[in-house]
Order: sequence, then structure tokens, then C-alpha cells
Amino acid sequence: MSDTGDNQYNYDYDLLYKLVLIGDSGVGKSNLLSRYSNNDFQINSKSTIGVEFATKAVKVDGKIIKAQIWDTAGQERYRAITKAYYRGAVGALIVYDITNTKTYENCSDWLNILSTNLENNDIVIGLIGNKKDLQHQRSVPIEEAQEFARNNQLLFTETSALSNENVEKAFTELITTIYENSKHQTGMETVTKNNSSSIGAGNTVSLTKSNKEKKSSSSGQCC
Amino acid sequence: MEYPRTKLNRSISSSSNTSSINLKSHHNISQQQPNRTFSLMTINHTEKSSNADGNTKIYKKKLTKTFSNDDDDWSANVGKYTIENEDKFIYTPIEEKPNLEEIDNIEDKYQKLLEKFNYILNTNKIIKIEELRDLSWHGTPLPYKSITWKLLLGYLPSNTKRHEQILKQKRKTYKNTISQQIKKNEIIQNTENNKQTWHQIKIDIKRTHPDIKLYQYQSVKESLQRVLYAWSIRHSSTGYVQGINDICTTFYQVFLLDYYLKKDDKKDLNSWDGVENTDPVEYMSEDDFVNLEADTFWCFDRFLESIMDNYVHGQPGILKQVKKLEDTCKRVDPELYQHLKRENVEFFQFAFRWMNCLLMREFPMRVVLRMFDTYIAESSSLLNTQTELDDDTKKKKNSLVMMDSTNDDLSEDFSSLTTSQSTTAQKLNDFHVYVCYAFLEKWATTLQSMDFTGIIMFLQSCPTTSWDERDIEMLLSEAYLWQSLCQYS
Repeated sequence: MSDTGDNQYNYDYDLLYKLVLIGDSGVGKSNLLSRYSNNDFQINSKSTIGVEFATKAVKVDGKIIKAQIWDTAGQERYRAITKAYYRGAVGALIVYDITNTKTYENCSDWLNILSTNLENNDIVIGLIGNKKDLQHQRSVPIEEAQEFARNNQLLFTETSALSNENVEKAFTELITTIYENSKHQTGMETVTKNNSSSIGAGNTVSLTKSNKEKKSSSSGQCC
Repeated sequence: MEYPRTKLNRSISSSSNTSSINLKSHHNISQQQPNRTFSLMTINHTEKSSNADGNTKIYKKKLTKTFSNDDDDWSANVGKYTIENEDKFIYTPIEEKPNLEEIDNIEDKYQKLLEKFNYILNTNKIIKIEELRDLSWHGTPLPYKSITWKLLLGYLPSNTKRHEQILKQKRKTYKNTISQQIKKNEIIQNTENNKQTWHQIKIDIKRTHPDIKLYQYQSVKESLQRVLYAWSIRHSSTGYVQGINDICTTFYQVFLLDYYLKKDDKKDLNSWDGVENTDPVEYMSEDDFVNLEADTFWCFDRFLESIMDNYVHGQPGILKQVKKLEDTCKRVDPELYQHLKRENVEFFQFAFRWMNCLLMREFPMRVVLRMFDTYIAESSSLLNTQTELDDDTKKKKNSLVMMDSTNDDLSEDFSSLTTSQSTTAQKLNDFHVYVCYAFLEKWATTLQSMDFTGIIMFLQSCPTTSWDERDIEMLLSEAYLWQSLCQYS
């Protein structure tokens, strides 16, 4: 299922999940996202300034879930700005480059930044080792990353945005886990409408055409 | 000062012989090489031709030796010098002075524009920066872009006699810095911080203008990497910020054009095609690269200095501009504003990049290069006030610019300049907000039929790939109107 060209009003989804992509600069976050949302890969895509955004709809358990994914700039300088986007996120992927140890080591920093900037600890986090196609340059052993993921209760996948390996799997796994968790837990902030106003009450909140119609009154005017 | 007069006369005349191609082109726009900047490179030219012509070398040596203590850099000037009375030398350009009335009668618009620039840049020894600024706001023809930008940014002083001397100094300073910092495309001072900066710049250079061939050449990548690294070292408190690499390329490409055009007279003066598709190694020496980098470095530095608030920690300049964009929209187009609010769109979500990269990510490069004519004109008001002063005061005031120009230490802080520039900073950032507003307003109807996802997706890749100079000129005019309306209402 693809939602490219999804530029007009559409309410044909049951759930809306906000996800964020974080990690060091140059590990391939933007390409993971464009591969996932658009099946597109550019060997030299421009660096992300601030944040960029894409969506994708997937079907889980007969429900259509729309993932609203925020791709953030990796440079340390932008952390102050990008962390504002973590608000309301129900899932996050921390990405590193398997050929660059430093980007892997920084994952624990990213994990800290994420947890200190979220009011809600029920966020589902996945660890992604990207650039799997560059096996000959690997410097992060898969076992070590697996161990790190296990100790921190993170999902873990190695991906290649270039060869399109495991990309879909990584995102789907994240979304499915969020969905499963939300079914079994109460009080979890599973669904957000758009980016900012989050709906925290109850389990899963269904956004169908009818009940979504106008939730819009919230922040019309200010100052 | 004691000058051996007779020798001088002979030297000068031999000067105009050896560099005749440059000299003509300097003053005659209809020649194939109308670029004023070429004459600034007279020294390079003479040095190069010295292989074929032994006399040139002798002449140059003499000249340097004889006038090493002179304030005026003779070799920088082209044209005839005659000795009048005592110590006074009168400078007259070789070609006839352009006549204003004649220029007005030229029918071809582009020709007319070229003549106007020619008139401002080549008629007087002291260039009237104010006039240049007004003219270039509306677009600078390619052959004059480089010199105009350098003048408006105050890299070159309005006194043309000092150009060569200042270029020499600045280029030397840059060269020294680079030789202390970088060797064989690796950094010398391997601190953790430096390594990180170098790495960040390197990975960003790889993905700078991926759509333009020029930026894929190894020569250009390494060259830009040096410029950005030197800048980051100089501004260690700010450091390298993603996005300034884009801004740096505007200066690089415009100054590169000079070298490209110099190489072959028959090249099309109105097109970027050649520059964007040729490896500069084919037409540039190692020294040329250093000089190009130095000019880029200094102009980029001066330009950024005026918008530094955008890049210091926390980026307050950007936050302020985004807020102002939002306020403007709320006031001028409440309907659009309400719609964005209803859809929970935050201005920050789409406008951060607009501010951080001065809209460079939203337009094709050629459109950006036109836009920068106006932006540089907007950022140059410090110099304007100087030109309005009478000659004597101007000399003193110019020392402000000179001080910078003679400063040989890259790491030195231009505190006095910075304070004067804070007003210009606001000026450019202020105007930029209105350009962003005009840009947003272009899509108002479309945006109002979209939901959150649609709006954000649309605004992060606006349909501007087919934009040309006319589109950006229209946008700039609209921005100017909005600015006037909002400021005086």
C-alpha cells in the first residue's frame, strides 16, 4: 500500500501514528524514509535542514494505520530544534551506520535525548543499523548492536536503504509493535492527530471520517 | 616619496602593452571579455605571460621594487597615466568614457544594462557604491556579478586603486591559514572537535547540489571543503552549521565564472552551462584555486557576518524571522493563517529551512544566483552611508573597511565592523521574511484546499523546478511591496 500523492484531504485511515527518525548525520535517515515512503533512493540526497516529513499507510490487523514520519537533521547543532518534534511521537527509530563506529556509539546519547524529551515513556523505539550493503566496510558487529538493543528493550534491524533490504520490515515491525502495545495497555498515548495535539485518553482512538470531521476548533486564533 | 619619473613612464606604457587584452575588455563592454574583474587580475596575467615574453617579467620586478612603499598600487590599475605638475598622476581609461545620454538611447535592454554597469564600475576611480547597489538590486549581468558582489560586500573598497593590493593581502592571509590547517586534503590539528567539523563538512559537501555536475568534481569538493573548514575554525564559537555549505556555493560559483570566462573569449557570457559542466581543473591553476577560495572565503564570511544570529547556538535569528513570518501572514492574509492553524501546521515546520538556507533549497541554483544580487544589495547598506559622505570623510570612514582588509589574522574579531553591521543584519533578515511571505502567499489558494499532510508535503517541495529569473524577480518585487506596505501601515 502506498500513499504517494497523498496531498489532498483523506481520512481513509483508522489510526494515525507519529514516528521520528533520529541519529547522527549521514547515517541514511532521509534515504530510509524516502525508500520506505516512496521507494526512492538517492545516492547523494541533500542534507536535512531542521526536519522533513513523509507519510505512509499500512494495514495491521485489518486496520489502516497512517504513519506520519518526521525525519530530523542529524547535526548536533540542530538537536535543540529537532527535539521539539519528539512531542507526541509514539515510535522512534534510532539509526546508525554499520560502517561507522562513532555513529553507533552515539546511539546511547540519542536514547537519552529521546527519553529526556518525552513525557511519555511508552514510546516504542527501534535501533537500525543502516548501510547493510557495505558489508566489507562493516565496523559495528551485529552481535554487539543486538546486545545493546536487548539491554535497552529496543527493536533491532539491520537495513540497507540502497538495496532496499529490511526497510519495510523495520518500519512495519515498529508500527505493529506500537499497535500491539496499545491494544494491551491503557493510558498510552497511541494516536495523535497531526503533529501537535495528541489524544492521550483511552486505548486506541479511532479516527474515522465521521468523528474526525472537525476536531479543528482547537487553536484557531492566538494573540 | 621619490619616484624615478622617467622609468615610471616607460614602465606604465609597457604595462598597457603586455596586458592589452585585459585593458580593452576592462573598458569596452562590447568586447568579448567585458569583465572588470579580469583587469584586477592583471598581475596574474603578466606573470603568466612572462614565460613567453621576458620583458614582462623585468617590468613587473621594476614596478614592484620602485613602488613598494607607495600607498597606491600601480600595478592594480590599467589605463594610461600621465604626469601632471608635481606628484599628481592623472588616470584616464583607455577607451572613451561611456556617455550617460548614449546609454539611455540604447534600445537593447541587456546591452543597456551592461553599459550602465560599465559606466558605474569603470568611469571613476572611486566607485559610487550607492549607485551600484541600486542598480544591482534589480539584477547584475553575469560579467559584472563577481566584481559587484565583492564591492557591495566591502571585500573590495570603492577606491579601485587599492583593489589589487587588498586582493593580494587577503589571498595571502587565506593561503597561510590553509597551509597551517590542511595538508593533502587532511587536517593538521587533529583535535576531536576539528575532526568532527572536518567530517561533517566532508559528508555535506558530498551532497551539496547533487543535481549540478560542477559540485561532483573532486577539485571543487576539496576546494569548498577547505573554505568551509577555514570558516569554521575562524568562527569556533559558532562552528559549522549545516546549510551554510549551500550559501557558500553561491559565492564560489559566481567567482569561478571569472576564471571560466577568462580562459576563452568565445564563451557565452550569458550562460552558466559551461561553468556548471566543466571541471575547473581544465582551466585553473593551483594558484587560481587558492585565489578563488580566498575571495569566496572572505565574501562568504562578510555576508554571513550580517546574518550571524541565524547560526549561533539556538539560532535566535531564525526563530525571530519565523515568528515575524507568522505575524505577517496573520495580519495580511488571516484566511490562510486560520487554515494553517486549523490544520495544526506550525510555521516552524516549513519555514525553518527557508530561513536557514535563505530559500536556496527551494529554487534552482540559477534562480538563487539572481536572488543573491538583491540579497547582497540589501546587505550592503553599511557601505551606502559611506559613499554619501564627502570625499575626505569618506577616506576616514573607509578605514573601517580597510581595517578589515588589511587585517592579516584570520582569527581576529572585527568587533567594530560587527556592531556597524548589526543594522544591516536586520535589514537583510527583515527583507528575507517578506520574500518568504510572498513565496508562501503564492500558494495560498492551493494550501487552503489541503490538510496537514498535504500542506507540509507541498511546502517542503514547492513546484519551482521550472522557475527562471523572471519568477524570482516577480517574487522579489512582491516582497518589496509587502515590506513597504507593512512598514508604513
